Amino acid sequence: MNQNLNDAEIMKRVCAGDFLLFDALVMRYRERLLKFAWSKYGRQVAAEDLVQEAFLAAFAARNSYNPSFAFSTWLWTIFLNLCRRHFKQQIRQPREVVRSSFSTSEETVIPEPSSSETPLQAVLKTEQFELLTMYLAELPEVQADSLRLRFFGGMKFTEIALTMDCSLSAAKIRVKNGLLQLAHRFSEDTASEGDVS
Amino acid sequence: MNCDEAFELITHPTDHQCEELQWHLQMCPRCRQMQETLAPALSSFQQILDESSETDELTDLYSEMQQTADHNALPAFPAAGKPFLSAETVRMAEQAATRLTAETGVNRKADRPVSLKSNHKRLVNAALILMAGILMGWGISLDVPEKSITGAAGVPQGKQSCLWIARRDESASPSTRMEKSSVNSVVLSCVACHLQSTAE
Repeated sequence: MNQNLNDAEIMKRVCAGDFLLFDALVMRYRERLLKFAWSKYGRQVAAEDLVQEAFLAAFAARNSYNPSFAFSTWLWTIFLNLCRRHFKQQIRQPREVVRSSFSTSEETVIPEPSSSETPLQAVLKTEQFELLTMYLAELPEVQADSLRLRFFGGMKFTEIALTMDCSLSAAKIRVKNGLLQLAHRFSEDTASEGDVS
Repeated sequence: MNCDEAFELITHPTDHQCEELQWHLQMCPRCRQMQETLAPALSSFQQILDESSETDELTDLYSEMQQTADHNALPAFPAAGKPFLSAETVRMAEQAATRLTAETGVNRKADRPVSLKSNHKRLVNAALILMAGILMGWGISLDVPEKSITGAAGVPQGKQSCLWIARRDESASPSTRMEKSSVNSVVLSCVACHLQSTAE
């Protein structure tokens, strides 16, 4: 039944005291927020904590929610601000981006493959994600965040513009320039692999 | 579909294979070029999104990376004993709500069609400007001296009238005497008159 309600209706009922209904919103957005945070920090604990904090903040400030704007835009704005705050804390300390899970560390454990994929596919998938995470970390933060919002958040350009407090054209330019730089980086990587072989 | 919409579809997480986009790409070499340039980055995103569409798979993917990270190395979150959700975070959420309310209000104002009232106001303004223009033109025409110069094009205001013509008029009507003018002033008057007629 909750699936039929839109975000604004759920928030209206949550504000009226039906607090448990907020869980439906958590289920709706948790995965996308996790993808974003994971691609930014690469550490599951940090990502889950950030997502949880964003939902708690939205719940605590529920009375300030106004149906004139989308709940998703609000949630992403809160989350992006939290991520930026966390990012500032993180850059004060040495930053760690893992290039590959198959390092020399003895603690590295290969996860059990799911039924639909071979171990090789699982390895390739993880490597691909790590590579993307690493290249995203090399981009200017606004470009990388725009790309994360577009692809991991599945947001429209208008929503990205609202969330990042910039113009629509700026949001598009950030995504475009970020993609151009990423594409260039991937091409370089492919070329260097070709040279080695 | 225009190129702007095509770019939105090219970078769309799920709809990047739609027929409409493919048709546009066939017709538009510029967008095709753009897609080919961005292809390495796009395919990387799309591959990850396609493969990790299920939550369980996503968790597997993350948990593998988790094993290589040292959780204790970066104490980025509040230490034990401190509240997880700070007042600052709640304030941040409230500020975000205020900003979004203001921005959506501004956008709606901008999107609203021009009302009849403002159209009426514009028409009145245009009419007033037109009236002012007519009045100014009429005023200028009243300032022009009644004695027109015969045989020459209209002499611009502030310029000396043609002295040769004036002399001819003088000879035609002996009652009026023209003051003796210098050669210099005659030359200047000719230049003024003939330049004006050439320009016209």
